[in-house]
Amino acid sequence: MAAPCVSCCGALCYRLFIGSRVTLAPRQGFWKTAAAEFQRGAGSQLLKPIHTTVVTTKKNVPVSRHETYTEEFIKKQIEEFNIGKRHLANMMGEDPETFTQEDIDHPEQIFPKQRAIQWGEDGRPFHFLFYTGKQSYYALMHEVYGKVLQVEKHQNQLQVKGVLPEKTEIRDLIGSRWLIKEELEEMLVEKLSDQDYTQFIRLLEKLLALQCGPAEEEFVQRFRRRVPTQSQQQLREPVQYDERGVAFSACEGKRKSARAEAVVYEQGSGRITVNGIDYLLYFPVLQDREQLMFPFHFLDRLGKHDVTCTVSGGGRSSQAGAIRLAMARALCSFVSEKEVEWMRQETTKLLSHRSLEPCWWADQPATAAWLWSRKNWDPNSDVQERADWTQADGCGGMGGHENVCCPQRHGVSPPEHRGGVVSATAPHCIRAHVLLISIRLSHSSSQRVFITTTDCPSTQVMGCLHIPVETDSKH
Amino acid sequence: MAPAAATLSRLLCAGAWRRPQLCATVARGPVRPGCRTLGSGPAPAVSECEDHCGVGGLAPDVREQVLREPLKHADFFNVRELFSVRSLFEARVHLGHKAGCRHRFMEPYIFGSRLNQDIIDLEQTAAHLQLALNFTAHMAYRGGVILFVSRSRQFSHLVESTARACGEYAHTRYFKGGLLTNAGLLFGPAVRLPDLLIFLHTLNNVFEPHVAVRDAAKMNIPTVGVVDTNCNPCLLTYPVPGNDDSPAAVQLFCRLFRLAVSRAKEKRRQVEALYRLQGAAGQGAGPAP
Repeated sequence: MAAPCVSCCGALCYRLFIGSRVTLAPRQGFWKTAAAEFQRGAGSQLLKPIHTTVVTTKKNVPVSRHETYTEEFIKKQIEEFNIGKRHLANMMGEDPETFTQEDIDHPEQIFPKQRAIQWGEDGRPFHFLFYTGKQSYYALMHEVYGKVLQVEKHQNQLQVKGVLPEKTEIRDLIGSRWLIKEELEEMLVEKLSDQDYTQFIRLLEKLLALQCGPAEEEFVQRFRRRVPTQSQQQLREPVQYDERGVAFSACEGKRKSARAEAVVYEQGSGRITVNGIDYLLYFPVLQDREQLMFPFHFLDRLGKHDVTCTVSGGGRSSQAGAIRLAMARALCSFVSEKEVEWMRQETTKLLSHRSLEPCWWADQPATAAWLWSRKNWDPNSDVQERADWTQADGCGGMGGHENVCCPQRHGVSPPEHRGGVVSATAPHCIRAHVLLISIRLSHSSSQRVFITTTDCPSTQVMGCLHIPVETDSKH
Repeated sequence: MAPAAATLSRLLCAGAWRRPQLCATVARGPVRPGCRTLGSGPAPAVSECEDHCGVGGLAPDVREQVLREPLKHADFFNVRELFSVRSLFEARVHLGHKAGCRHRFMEPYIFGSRLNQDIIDLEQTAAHLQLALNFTAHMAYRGGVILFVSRSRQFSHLVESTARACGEYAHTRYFKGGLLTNAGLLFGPAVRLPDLLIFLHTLNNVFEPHVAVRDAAKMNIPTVGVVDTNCNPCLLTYPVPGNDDSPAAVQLFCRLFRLAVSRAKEKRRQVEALYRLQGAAGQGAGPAP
């Protein structure tokens, strides 16, 4: 009896062993078979030998593309985390009950949200768009399109009745931006393509363009994010009052080397006095007067304010720009906060001073070009230092002097890996065309030839050469 | 009605059903009851999917009876009353494309041509539609997964709403390559494929046959499809010749399929409740006397 008992016990243990393993891996097909066999073999048939597959490591199952964490695993991690949190609280002397984590990473953030199994026990998927592959995205598109159809139908009905609401401009979109593709992917827990994303944004914009009601607006706002407020708050000068009781505001502005100070009066008829002279006489050129006009034109207050300003330095254009900046700043005190924000968002540099970037590249020496050769090109290699890109010999010999001579060799990588500069010809080689403007025949011993550059925005005199010339007494 | 009955019986006896005893009954169940998984995968323990459709303590023999009940009648779900030739005509189902667009295999279904536009024979359409609706109802009764397919952008929203309304599935988007043939890789190893595909539009956006028609035939999935005069009805199990371009016609078809599926599911619940009551009554009557 001993031998059969041992075999029976072995079989029993084996069966129990399999039974205990069943609950852990409900997904694998072969485990289900074992489970069924176990369940059917319960009771009197426990000792019936059934040939079942032994537990082995999964050798033939293809490697999954990305790691998936099961619900149980994440739950276990969360429990362990909570226990550890209490230990930490004890160690730190805090009360474990009210211990909040400020800087501790929570397991939900480390292990990203994964999709649970999408179908029930009978195999029927839960979502009606499951078989498309991108169920959340297409469900969202379906919903938004449904809203568009609803709004259109509503508008048609109103049109039939003859009661169309007036067009209200939406300013709420100014301080916010559309969700970016990564944020949308995170929201839907699904991979999207660029075209999908573009289509989605287009559909939302179509919905907005149709003058939807407040419910739809709130729905659309879910897909917009606030643009982070700029740290530099526009300072509003306090309104002052002069001896006659008229409100005014004074501000400074600058552009290039011009400095201006403008005093804007609240009541007025649009007269501007610059350095005691009327602006029409001070700025004969239309372009300068347009610059002065712009802040008022933007806020629709063209003939409503009087301005007195003083300006010094710079040229005519920079003086106009300086006064413009000063006036815009001064106007902020007469205008609401929303309009100030709108001014900042909609215009470039109306309220801020921007200056020209200094020409730092003039001090850099010329660097050698990168050469590409097809012979050494290997498309399949992942190596950082690629053999197909080499530097010409111009800089090769000066390898020792890194910082001074070849600042662009820091990464020692071909051009496409740097910040986008493809051609390495030195940008500072501005071609100078020598223009002979005039040669004045004079009795002086030298002639002056003016050199100008055609690459500069304004023709500036770069320098002049003195060429000694023999003058003949005859000419 | 005589010609319709004749076509009906002719259609019933045609094709794979060369068994005379099945001429009276309209549909036969699928080869493997319920679940349709990939052939290479091992059969899951829940091999009888109707187990879970009729969960609630139904014994296997009672379940068998529930499933066999509709097969005893020719039109168990009475789909004939859902439409008539008149209603098809009013929904403009008889209008086909111009004669130049005609597909060779659609010629048997075309009644004639008026001012160069093909007119579809509504008598034949009615017969085919009755078969298709009946089959759909039987599939829904047995808890099958029904997938509505259409690639027309004009009716995409309507088809998805229809599918959602009757608790089934829809696919009116870009059809990825191996969706049916390589579903194990795309979805997961133990995914259940659809048991029936219903095509509201057989062609895709470039006027070529939808890939799913061929793939369903490869995977042995029965298909029901509305075929216009420029479509190829060959690979469809239950083609329904009809107009697929007019909104009225498409709305009619969506409504018919939705009603058929809803009726079938309702009937299933009723029959199960009936058998459960009978079983309870039988048990109550047993030990009492």
